[in-house]
Amino acid sequence: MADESTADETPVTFNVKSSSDAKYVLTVPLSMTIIDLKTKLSGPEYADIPPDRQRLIYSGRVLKDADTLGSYKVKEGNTVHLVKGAASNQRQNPANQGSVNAGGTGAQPAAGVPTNLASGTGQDPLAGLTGARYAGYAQMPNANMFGPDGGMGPPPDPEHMASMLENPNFASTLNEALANPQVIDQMIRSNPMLRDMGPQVRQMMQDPGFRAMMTNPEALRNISQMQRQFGGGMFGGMGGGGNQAFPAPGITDTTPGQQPSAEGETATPRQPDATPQQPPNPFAMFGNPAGAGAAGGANPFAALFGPGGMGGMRSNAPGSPSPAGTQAAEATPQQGANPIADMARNMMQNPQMMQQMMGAMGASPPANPDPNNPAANPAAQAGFNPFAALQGLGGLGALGGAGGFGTQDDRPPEDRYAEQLRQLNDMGFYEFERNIEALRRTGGSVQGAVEYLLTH
Amino acid sequence: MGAKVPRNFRLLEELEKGEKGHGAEACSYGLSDGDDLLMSNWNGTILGPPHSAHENRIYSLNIHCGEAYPDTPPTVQFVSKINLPCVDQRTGKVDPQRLPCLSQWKRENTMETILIELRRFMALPQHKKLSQPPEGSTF
Repeated sequence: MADESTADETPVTFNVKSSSDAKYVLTVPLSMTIIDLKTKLSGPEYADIPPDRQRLIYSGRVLKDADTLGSYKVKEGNTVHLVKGAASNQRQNPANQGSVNAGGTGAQPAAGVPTNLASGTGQDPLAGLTGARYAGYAQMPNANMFGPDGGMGPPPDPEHMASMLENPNFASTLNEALANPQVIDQMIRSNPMLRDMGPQVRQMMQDPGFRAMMTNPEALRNISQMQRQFGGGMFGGMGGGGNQAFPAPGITDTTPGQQPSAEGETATPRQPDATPQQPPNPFAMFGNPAGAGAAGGANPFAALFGPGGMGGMRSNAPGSPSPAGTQAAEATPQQGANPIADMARNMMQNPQMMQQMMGAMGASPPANPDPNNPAANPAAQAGFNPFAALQGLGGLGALGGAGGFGTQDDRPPEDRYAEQLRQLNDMGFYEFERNIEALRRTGGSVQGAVEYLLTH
Repeated sequence: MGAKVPRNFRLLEELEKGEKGHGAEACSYGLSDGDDLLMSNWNGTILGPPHSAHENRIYSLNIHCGEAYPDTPPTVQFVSKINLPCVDQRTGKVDPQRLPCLSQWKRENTMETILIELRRFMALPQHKKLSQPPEGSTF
């Protein structure tokens, strides 16, 4: 390389593309060594990854710290890939390092990397529930529970749930579980939507009033009664089908067990590696993008104000479908994340208010549900939240895994998942069929779909 | 000569794609000797797919494109040790019969196709948990 020594001083401009999709343009002399380059990249204006965790790959080779850019013939406009690897011990044994050694023989998973669900249920506080001691209380997931999208089908009969809760053993188990912050953490962690909602969720769940309500069979009955009054439409945004009293248009068979299963495979739990009892997404309704249309993604609660619910309230025609997008969008400005927790607590601690509201809703939906409440309509809508959440938790509690209510979304998958498909495309997944399949299996969760695509 | 032009055109195309980084993120490839006008010997790397025994690993491979490429598939050989059914455990050679994209080779397939397919192969449910030799060991 002696003859290249002068050429080595000439700067070269190239791109560094990191695994997080960020791209940095660098202009450095070819004589720069890889370790110097890594040090440069470790700065906050670039990748902000310590040099010993950077892996640089160019042209099919892992770049070694001691070599120069020139020796790899990095040329103008080329792209070097930056991968964040496990902490490496390669500097301790540089001599042993073959040209192919990626270093990091320790191969410790990086701290903070979520442990694979597949690796077991060791950290899952719900794992205990799989134990035989709950046999009989817990309804094991079976084929019938999974709807055509691999999501949850119609929920177990609320009556059934309530009577289950009347069993003091089960109620106390559930209560105990919910009092355990670990369980709450787990629930929040396992659901990206909840995670995004921030601390309010935890607050809400930890609220004793909320818990009491959830585990109170009477309250559950009230809720289901209320739900019936709304003609099933209340939960319309949640993307599921079968309130049996008010079947979705076009669905004549409301027997949950005979819900058509679009794919044979969806009949099996779609997260075979996870704890089977844990409903894969108990809070799907919070922000199920499949349900609520465009606004669903931005506002996790928007889904709660899906077409059916709003339509039912306003037009006095329970369950009458109205355009999802506009309704959800209308609902959005009326409520924020924070008031909801308060509202929920308020509602739950005030049975009268709930009764009143139920009465008002049942009788004349458009009427102001609670004269004492100056916030009137928005408040009433926000008031739905605790119940929706409750139903979700109820599903979890019953281990029946009922995630969603409402009408079945029979739009073709490419419409239903348009937004998610676009995101997947942006991430570089171009196989339409596979994308659709992955989205169907994950009920429209982009993150889940990516996992699926990468592992299948 | 006429028959060779398509081969070299193709390889030049692939070279550019590899160097510019237009291909898939998880795979990289380039000429092992930039001065080789016949562009026969290539390096490839595969980032181990996540949620598998290969996570956080980088596998290196040698790819040899014969004169008949892309009419016949290149030979592929792992340099990094890997425990995978399609890889000869002594030499690291990929058995073309056991990797669909090689056994049913199409002219449109590229080296990137092979690398991506190998990565997919690693991530298959029946392969992703195979115990792997220590990272950094080579054939």
